[in-house]
Amino acid sequence: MTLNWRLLTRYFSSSFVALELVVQGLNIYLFETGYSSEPLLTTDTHIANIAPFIDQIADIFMLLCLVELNLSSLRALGSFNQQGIRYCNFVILAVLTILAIATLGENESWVVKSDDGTNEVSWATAARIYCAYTIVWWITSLPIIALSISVLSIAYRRQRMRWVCISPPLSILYVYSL
Amino acid sequence: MAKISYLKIARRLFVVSILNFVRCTWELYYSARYLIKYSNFELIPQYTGVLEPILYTWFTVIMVGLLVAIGIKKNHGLWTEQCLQQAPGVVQYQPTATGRGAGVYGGEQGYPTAPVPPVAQYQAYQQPQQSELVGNYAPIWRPELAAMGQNQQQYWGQQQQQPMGTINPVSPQSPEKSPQSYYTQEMDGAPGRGSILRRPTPHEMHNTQVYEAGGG
Repeated sequence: MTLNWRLLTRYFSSSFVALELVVQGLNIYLFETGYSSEPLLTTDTHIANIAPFIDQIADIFMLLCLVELNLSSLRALGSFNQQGIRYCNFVILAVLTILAIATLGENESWVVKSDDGTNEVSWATAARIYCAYTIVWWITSLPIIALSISVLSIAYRRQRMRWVCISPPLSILYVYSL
Repeated sequence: MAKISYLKIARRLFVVSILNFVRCTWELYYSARYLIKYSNFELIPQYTGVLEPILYTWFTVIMVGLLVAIGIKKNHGLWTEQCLQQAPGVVQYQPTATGRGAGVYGGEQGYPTAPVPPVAQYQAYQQPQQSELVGNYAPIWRPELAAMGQNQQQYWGQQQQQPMGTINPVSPQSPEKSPQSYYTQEMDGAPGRGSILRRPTPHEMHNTQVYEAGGG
């Protein structure tokens, strides 16, 4: 694992922030000019769709980073190898990526149909796909909490072991405390 | 040699996980409340405009900051194979044919080994029950095994890394003579950052001698 997930997460988060700033700037300009420029309006809408997609990708990388950090800490603390959790994580993140791409596609389709003057365009499909994304995303956050709690408990127990190693009287106290 | 406090890193990871959970919960609530039955004519209340930056944007910023802090705490960023390979004193070993690929985690590439200290300068503290307490991290240094030399270090390093069922370089012996190359191990530094043996202080050596003499 030679990729630096932390840097990738940072790049994607920065891209999202940059795109959001561009969108806000365009909105201000369009407001001042009375929304007279049609190409700028379309550009603003497209960028406003891409920015949440970049944000979703950054969230996916952040989840990957969290799981990898927790598993590597467990490994370093002497726990057994947990490749199964890692591969399950990859599968879930692949599902999240597909849902994020689907959301982007639906958003773009909605923008294009709106520009064509179709009055019966609804954003409901894109909204439901985004709901599915948030549900899977929320479910993924629960095992991450469990992993971090296990890392914390093992680290805390190991810290107490170190104190036991140093002085024999503490070991007697530890045995009694059990 | 920089010290790494696993407890501090574990605490930060826990905080990041909690923040991520709160952020996800807010997004889930917003989606379930307003997006599942989306209607062009439904107005979204203004309090969402207040809570959204707090529960999403600021939490994201704090999470990224904590992840950066964890990365700085671990020397030269997050542990990767590259990081461990560049470190001195790392025992390299090739993955065995057990199906476990190389580089699953950074620790797969080896475990730092320390040079064997002279017996005269180090008096081991020995507590047999520690092996049950510590679990698979059950290093117990025995001075009588110091003469075994470097084989022990390699045995220990590979014993830690090789999954069960793989070939060990040191042939197993009887329990009384088995080369139990354990030594007290403290992760006072990043893996691969040199010796991880901590020489006991004179006070600790005194306690050890008192304990072995049956006193204390």
